Amino acid sequence: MSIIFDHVTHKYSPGTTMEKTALNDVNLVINDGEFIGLIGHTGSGKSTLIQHMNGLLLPTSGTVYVDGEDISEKDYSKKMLRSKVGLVFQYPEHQLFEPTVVKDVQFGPRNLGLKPLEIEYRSFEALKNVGIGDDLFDASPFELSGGQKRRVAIAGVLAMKPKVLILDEPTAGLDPAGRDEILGLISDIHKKTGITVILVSHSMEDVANYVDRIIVMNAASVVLEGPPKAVFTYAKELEGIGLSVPQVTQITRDLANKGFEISPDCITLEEAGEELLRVYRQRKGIPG
Amino acid sequence: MIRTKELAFDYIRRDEEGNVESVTRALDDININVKQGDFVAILGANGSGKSTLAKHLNAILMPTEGEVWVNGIKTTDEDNLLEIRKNAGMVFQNPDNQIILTVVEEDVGFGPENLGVPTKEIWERVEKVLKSVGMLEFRKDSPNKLSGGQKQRVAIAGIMAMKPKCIILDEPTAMLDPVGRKEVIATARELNKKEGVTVILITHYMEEVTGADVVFVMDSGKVVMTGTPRQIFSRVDQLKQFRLDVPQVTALAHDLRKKGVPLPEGILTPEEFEEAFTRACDARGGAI
Ligand SMILES: Nc1ncnc2c1ncn2[C@@H]1O[C@H](COP(=O)(O)OP(=O)(O)OP(=O)(O)O)[C@@H](O)[C@H]1O
Ligand SMILES: Nc1ncnc2c1ncn2[C@@H]1O[C@H](COP(=O)(O)OP(=O)(O)O)[C@@H](O)[C@H]1O
Ligand SMILES: [Mg+2]
Ligand SMILES: [Mg+2]
Repeated sequence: MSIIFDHVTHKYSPGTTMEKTALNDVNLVINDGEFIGLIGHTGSGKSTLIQHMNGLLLPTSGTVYVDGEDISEKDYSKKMLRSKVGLVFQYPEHQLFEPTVVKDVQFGPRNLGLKPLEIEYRSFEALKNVGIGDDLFDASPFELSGGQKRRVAIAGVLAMKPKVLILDEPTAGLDPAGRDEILGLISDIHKKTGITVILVSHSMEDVANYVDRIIVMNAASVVLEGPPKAVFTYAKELEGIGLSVPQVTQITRDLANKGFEISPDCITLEEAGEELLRVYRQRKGIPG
Repeated sequence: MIRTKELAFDYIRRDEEGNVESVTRALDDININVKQGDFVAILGANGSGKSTLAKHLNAILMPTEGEVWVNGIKTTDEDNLLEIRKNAGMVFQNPDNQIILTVVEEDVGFGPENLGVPTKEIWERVEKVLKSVGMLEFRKDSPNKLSGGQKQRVAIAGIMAMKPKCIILDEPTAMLDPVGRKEVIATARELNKKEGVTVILITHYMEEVTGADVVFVMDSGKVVMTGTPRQIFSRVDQLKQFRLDVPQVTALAHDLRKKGVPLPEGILTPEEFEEAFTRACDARGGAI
């Protein structure tokens, strides 16, 4: 599915003293099958932006088109939209409300009107994929640790098999192995099914490792977009708006500035490792 | 300052009739000793027991077995509950749930007011703590205008205003952008250095604990590793078993070292790396 933002502005409490412009004239094209990373400081408008993609919020002015259709049209089916555009919220505790973990994950598929066996199968598969063991299936979602709650919330959306998967800071609060597992899982799903994925993240390392294109927001506007390598060349600018570059990018850039003949735009651990090894061997006259 | 002896804790789940349905042993034989003025970090997988341990340090939870002393007082000593709560303040993950009042300085003064501190002294404390977290200029502002990192600093100020001997930060940076994260960690270190407050920091970001005096690693309710950050992060393979990782720069050094570049284990910061790498390249003699 493609998503287009055409001069979209969103105001919370418009016309009151509390009025707050959270999106200001945003223009954006997200193509079918892209893996997008959305970054920006807290309060820059990321959550507001993505809630326009499944119709939870509508523009105050401007238009959001999903597959060519204006989602603000009166007869546009929000229910259909939400079954196709799955959103994992930033605060998983807001998404969990059924008495047990399994029932919670089944909520979405049940709403799609699927057969009981299919519902059961999808929920077990999704829970297995996010690393929740069957010992927790009948636990109350409220008794889970923070990271466990987040996994269950992700499973709930995966079980709907959406065409567009939006994850609002899905790895916040996950342990490092869990971070890699969830992102690896999302990346696998993206590769296998070709669905569009939009990942909101504060981890520059994660964004560098997984996404095809980065969209940078600052103060209600989109200020920069492009492939990770291109975006992370703007280290100073990114820091000025609350962001940063991966640690390895900082290191290769610093060393390049100190006169090492090293490519300054390494953004992953592997790239930086290879580049530094090459430089070291060259200095020492060791054949690579 | 903080001492636990054979501490164990069970979460007990009961059905409607009150019969025990299941028991989760969240803490198991914990024996730790934290000195006044230490900066302590706790790492561990999701569900390993970090938050449960933290909740024992200010008597939100009471041991199922064993004992906890905070500043010489046993937490089960009910007559001293207020004293214990005052001595150990907690800051949590979500910056939006911790600020109650609509003006920053009033929110920070809320805690001491509840403790019955005289008005004049409340205002002195408010001014001092806002200054020490670098938020004095926002004292008259509404908290919802602040960035996530600023909100967390206000939350820390609110705790500091109660003059605790110890402050416990349970994933205070999980929801923050990179600059907000740095602000909060720098604030915690500053309070630790300048005011001698004992800090207990729980986090899933490995690079945030490189400045700690001691790191505890938890797994399945037990403390399984104890050491300085350099000692802990030198044991990359062991950490991975506990679902943890090392900072990206440490991993980079570790990988290069395995490929023959003479870098020390346990490099913790980009600066250290750049220095060590430069030295390795400049050292006399070719191959090793
Ligand atoms: N209120 C509760 N009732 C029952 N079990 C609980 C409750 N809170 C936590 N647990 C269980 O206790 C164990 C430890 O949980 P705890 O919240 O201390 O983990 P944690 O290390 O803080 O994890 P995270 O990194 O995800 O925050 C887990 O198995 C969890 O499912
Ligand atoms: N429900 C709401 N009501 C009023 N203001 C809001 C609401 N949600 C967000 N805002 C404001 O809109 C701006 C953008 O917020 P948000 O989209 O949540 O940013 P991000 O996800 O990038 O942190 C912020 O100034 C925030 O305070
Ligand atoms: Mg958000
Ligand atoms: Mg926790």
